[in-house]
Amino acid sequence: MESQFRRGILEACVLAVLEKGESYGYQLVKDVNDFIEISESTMYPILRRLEQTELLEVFSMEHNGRLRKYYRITDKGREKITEMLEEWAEIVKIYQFIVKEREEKNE
Amino acid sequence: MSKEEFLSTLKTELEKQNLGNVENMLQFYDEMICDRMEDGMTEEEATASLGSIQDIVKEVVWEKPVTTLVKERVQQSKAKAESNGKGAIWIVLAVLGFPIWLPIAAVIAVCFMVICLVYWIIVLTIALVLLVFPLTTLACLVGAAGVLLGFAPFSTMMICLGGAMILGSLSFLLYKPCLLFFKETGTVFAKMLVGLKKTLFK
Repeated sequence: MESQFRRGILEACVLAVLEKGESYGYQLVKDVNDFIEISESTMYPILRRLEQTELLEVFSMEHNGRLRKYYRITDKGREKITEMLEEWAEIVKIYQFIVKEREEKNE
Repeated sequence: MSKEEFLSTLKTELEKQNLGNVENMLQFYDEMICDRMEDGMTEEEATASLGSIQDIVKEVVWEKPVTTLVKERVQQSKAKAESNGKGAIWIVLAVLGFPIWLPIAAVIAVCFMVICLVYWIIVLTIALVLLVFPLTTLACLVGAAGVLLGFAPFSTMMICLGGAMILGSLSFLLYKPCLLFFKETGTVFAKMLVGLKKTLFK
């Protein structure tokens, strides 16, 4: 899959998981992995960018005597999911158009 | 690989890439390994499941903004060019551009010389005036004294005294501003010469 596209989808997945409640890195990797294969090396830059674009916020909490980073979705992040879903609806329309054109050509 | 080994290797590799947020990233992987171990993996299994360090670094490099990547490329090639025969391009340019830069250099040199010449003429003139005024004042005073001794008529004495007063006050008034002028322009010239020396012989 083209990397930009894949990245956008993964970002939306992470945000969707976070919409259910705050989470931490490893849990996020596990949750997203249920839908799409994702490794830590891919997850890190995604979390980083979501943080930089203020779609999520980061805070540290103690866990078993060490600090663990937790991620919480922001209002801007929720808006972003809606925005992305709208964009994909457009893409689905384009997809249908392309499929239809091909079918007509083959007939 | 133990956690310490994994993190220190990762650190070395990331630092090679000239990335800003190495610390942040190491924290992230530290946390990942700890969480995996809590999940029941051994330390070895946890580090192994994170994939190869090369892949991790590659992913981060992809994340770098293109502008940074391009800048690095440019810097690298620049450094290379400098180490290869240290600016061979400049020598080629200097030879090829000979018909262009020679007249320009000549014009600049001539201009500079003219400016120097004019400046020193002005300085010398002012210095001469500064020297002549007091001397003439002295001569006028001597002349006036001569009148007193009976060598010349009274009217000459009046002219001599008047001349002494005018010239004396003029030299008194001009003395300070002229010195200031010498000092200021002298400093400018000295700076110009130092700058010229620096650009010519680095």
